[in-house]
Amino acid sequence: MESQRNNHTAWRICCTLAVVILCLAFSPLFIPAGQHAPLLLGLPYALWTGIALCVLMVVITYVATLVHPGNTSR
Amino acid sequence: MLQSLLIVGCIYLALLIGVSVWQRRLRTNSKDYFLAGGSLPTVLGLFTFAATLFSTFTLLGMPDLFRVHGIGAWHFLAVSDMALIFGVIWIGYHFRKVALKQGFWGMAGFLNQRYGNRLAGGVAFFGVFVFLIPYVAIQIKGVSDFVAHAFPDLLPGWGWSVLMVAVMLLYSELGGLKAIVYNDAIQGLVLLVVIWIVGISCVREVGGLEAGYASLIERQPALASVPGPRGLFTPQFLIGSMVAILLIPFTQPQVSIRLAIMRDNRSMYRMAVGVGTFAILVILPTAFIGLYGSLRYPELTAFEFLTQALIHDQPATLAAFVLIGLLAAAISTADSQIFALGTELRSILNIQDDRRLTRITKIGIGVFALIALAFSVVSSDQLALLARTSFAGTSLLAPLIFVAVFGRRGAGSRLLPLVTLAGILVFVGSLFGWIPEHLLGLRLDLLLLVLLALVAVGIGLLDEGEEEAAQTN
Repeated sequence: MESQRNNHTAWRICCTLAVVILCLAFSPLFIPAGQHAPLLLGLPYALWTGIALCVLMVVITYVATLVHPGNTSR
Repeated sequence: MLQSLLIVGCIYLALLIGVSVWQRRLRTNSKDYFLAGGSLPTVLGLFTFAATLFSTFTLLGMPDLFRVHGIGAWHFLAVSDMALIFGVIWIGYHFRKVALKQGFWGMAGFLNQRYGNRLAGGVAFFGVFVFLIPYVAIQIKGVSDFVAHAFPDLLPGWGWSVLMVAVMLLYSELGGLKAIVYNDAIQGLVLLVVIWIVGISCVREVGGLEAGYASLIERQPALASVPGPRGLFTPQFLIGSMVAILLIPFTQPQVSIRLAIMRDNRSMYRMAVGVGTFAILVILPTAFIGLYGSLRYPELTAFEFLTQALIHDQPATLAAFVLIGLLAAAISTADSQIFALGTELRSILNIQDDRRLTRITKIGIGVFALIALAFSVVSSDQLALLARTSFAGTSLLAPLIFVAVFGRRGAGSRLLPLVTLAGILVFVGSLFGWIPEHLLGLRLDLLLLVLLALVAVGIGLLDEGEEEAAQTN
């Protein structure tokens, strides 16, 4: 029962994180108009932050699958 | 080069047909044929989902988008795909819960059952027909024109189109959805391997990533930032694309059927994480090819650039694999779409005799393929942007579908299907230039989606109120 409640909380946190990250992804924080600095390994800002954001989203999605309320249902 | 192409092409064709014949022998009923038995494991689900999602426009359209419009293309597709995978586990769970309870044969049939009338399914079928046929057509055309451009003396563009459609029909008619799924797995792997080899070779050619992007920033800094030199990737365009792409698993039947036929929820979740990883892996090298194009071939047309970068600048054997990879990418998406249109048709037909139903569906699949083939002759070559139009068009069905998933059976009645139909017609009107593409400062597709969502929410609230009143009485 306790673990089920924890899973539910974790699931909600994952959903909130995903929504916040995706909203920020299209804001000037990640895609500032006409700006390519700071670079990382030579990659322009919007590109390397975009890649990092995608990796983070895959990780969040993975965690979300572990704590999903319907994880065990067939 | 031609010799390499013939050898690789024959091996590929033998694999496709072999898998189809093998699946034909294993088939026992129409559920096996149309729903691949309804029990896909994670890995197979991942590859068929990915191959259906990442089509010609990934291999041809994305490098050109990066080349012409800059790095905003990453947000256009990759970030939007991350929204899609999260949507799959979030909404997909509820979709499967409702859809599988009543036996899922197609989205249109599912809507008929949930709305309690045949109008809902009819509107859904109309929507996917109107927006999927052009999408299938541009893929066939894109690849056919490209191959014809690479081998001007071999076959004309329409000849390659006919060949592709014939192969597609042959193996899907032989083996059904299971054959398509297995072939998608082969095609997805071919696409991934080929695109990485080309991507790495392009990075080497520009002296590495650091040197390449340094040159790009020096020559054309607008390509290294958003919205790009032509101002395409505005936040509104990107958000509109993200919403349309996020809704694909539920609004495009070739994808939603793959959610419905996963073995269980856990397989679907794992598949979603795999698709996210696949998306990053398959889109990243297209950025490298685009970078190469921006530096080497900034003035060429899309086809000239792609022919140079993917064929002429590569060793002969690799170029042959690229061409087969391209044909595979186009076929894997187009066959799934055509087959899904057939399944959608089957789901709304009111015929009890299974044999007759199967026969009519197969004829339908053939007719849809011919219509797409005819349309491919007259469609434009703006692959990525036409694909986006297809996503935006089918996304208008989302409120209709979500009310069916989250609402009570019968909620929405005939009103929501009718309003959705009006929305689709208005959007089609804007594509023909009869209605402006922007209204009140918003893109029309986004505005229509917001309006339809508001109507759906209103219907949901009214329905809840009625239910409460009925319980009180």
